[in-house]
Amino acid sequence: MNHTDLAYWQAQFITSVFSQDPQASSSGIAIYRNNLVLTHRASILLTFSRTCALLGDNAHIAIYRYLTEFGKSSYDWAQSGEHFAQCLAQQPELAEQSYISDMAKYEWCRHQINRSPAKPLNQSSIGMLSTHDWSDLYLDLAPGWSLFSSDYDIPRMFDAFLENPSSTPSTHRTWVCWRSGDAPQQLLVPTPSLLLYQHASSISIQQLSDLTEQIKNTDSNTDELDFMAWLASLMQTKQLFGLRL
Amino acid sequence: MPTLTQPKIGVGLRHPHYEAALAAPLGVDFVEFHAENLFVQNDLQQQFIQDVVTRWDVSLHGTTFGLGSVTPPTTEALQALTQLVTATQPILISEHVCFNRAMLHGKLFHGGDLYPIPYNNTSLDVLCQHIDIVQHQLQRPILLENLSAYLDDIEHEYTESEFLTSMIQRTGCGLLLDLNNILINEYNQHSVSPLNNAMTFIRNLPNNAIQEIHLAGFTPNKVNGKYVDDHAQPVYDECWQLYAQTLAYTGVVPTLIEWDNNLPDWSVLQAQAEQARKIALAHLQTTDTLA
Repeated sequence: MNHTDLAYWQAQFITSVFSQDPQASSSGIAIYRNNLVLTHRASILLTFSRTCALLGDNAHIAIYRYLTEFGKSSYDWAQSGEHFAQCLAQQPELAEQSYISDMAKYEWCRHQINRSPAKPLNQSSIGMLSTHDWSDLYLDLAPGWSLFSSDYDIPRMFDAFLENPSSTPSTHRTWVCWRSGDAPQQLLVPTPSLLLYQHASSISIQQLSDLTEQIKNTDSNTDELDFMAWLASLMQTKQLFGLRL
Repeated sequence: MPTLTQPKIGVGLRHPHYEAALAAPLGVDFVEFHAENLFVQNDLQQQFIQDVVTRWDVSLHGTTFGLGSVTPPTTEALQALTQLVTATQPILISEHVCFNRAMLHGKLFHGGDLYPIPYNNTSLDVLCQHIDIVQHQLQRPILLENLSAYLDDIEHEYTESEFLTSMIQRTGCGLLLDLNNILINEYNQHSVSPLNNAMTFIRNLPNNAIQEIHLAGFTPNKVNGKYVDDHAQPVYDECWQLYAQTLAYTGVVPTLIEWDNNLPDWSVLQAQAEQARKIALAHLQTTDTLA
């Protein structure tokens, strides 16, 4: 057996384990497949407890379908749910219940927030606002800081563990999510500042300031928008950990 | 590594036991973690690691590197392990003689399990190359654990003990001897004398390379015609007997109680550790008497 043969042998083994046809392999492979299915299920149930509760009796089928359609590419079981929301969104029978895939997106967001590396608050770096060119400065945001959008009030459904939400979507809204202390936090993003939030992690302070002016010039409902006040609100809620060059 | 003059008995520390173990750390000389479970670096995890290292020595047991895979371990995983080693300063670092992933149609599939490898020169080359990568990265030797395997039709060119011995000679790694795995393989091969065969297997390994022993139990119900190494029961009589006989060959080495499923109270694991300690102490007393 040369290197190519060994690679082929291992690929055949993995193919058998991931196969959707349990009859097509030996009893030994069946043990490995059983381990894979059970561990994968446990991992998804742990990360997506609310989503699986919403799926009810269909949860196990949905999780198995996810394994067979999307496979598993990470060594880390905790990363196995990366595409679960996408998989659910593609299921025709869930088309009328899109809040389920939205809940999966939200739970994945919280999962990532919980797993984000710790970092120190660098309050003194805020002083760079008066010493550096704003074009060179960027926001250093809290661990796991990200945006989540849905037509449903998913954070409220999550907190209340509502299993029978209203099936009628309301207006599309966006929440900002991050970790403060040990716990995930979320806030509804006010519509006037949505663009600022959407670009907060990617463009410089100067560009964010310029963007604020553009928003105010194009939308008469945003007169109250104030860049420095927005920055202060990020600090007050511990979304902002400092500034970075 | 010289053998010990006092028993060093550890327990696999799993998440549901964290609180109870930190509150009652006595009777356990070291704790073992599945390394990947500590890769997350959030505040809680970092505090937990600090709490652990002030109470016990730590052993890191990798379960996902699959060093026998043709596809090499990822830089990301190696860096995470290196950071964890720096944070915990483990007395032992171990992995398994297995593979777990392959490229299918250009996409990586990771089984997240311990799959057997054929014992031949190509497997040996791949495994040794990847052990070298890890040992170079960590700047210290690691231990490799023997598997329980459930396939009967793999064509091997070497026996398991020949393969493991060559691996040790080529890489300088040590061996983590899992006694339950050896016995399960004997049971699944319908051996008429599992204990004797297990000892014969062990005596064919270089005794000074055996630097840790794992003890575990398994559910005595067959799954698809085989016993499965599920770490869901206490260590059983034949495994204790094998432990006592193995110590006569290896001397006293760090020994770990592994229990991963159907977890009992922490106190049950402490009692299992105490039983292992008694056997190790009895071996040391016998050795003293003979001397």
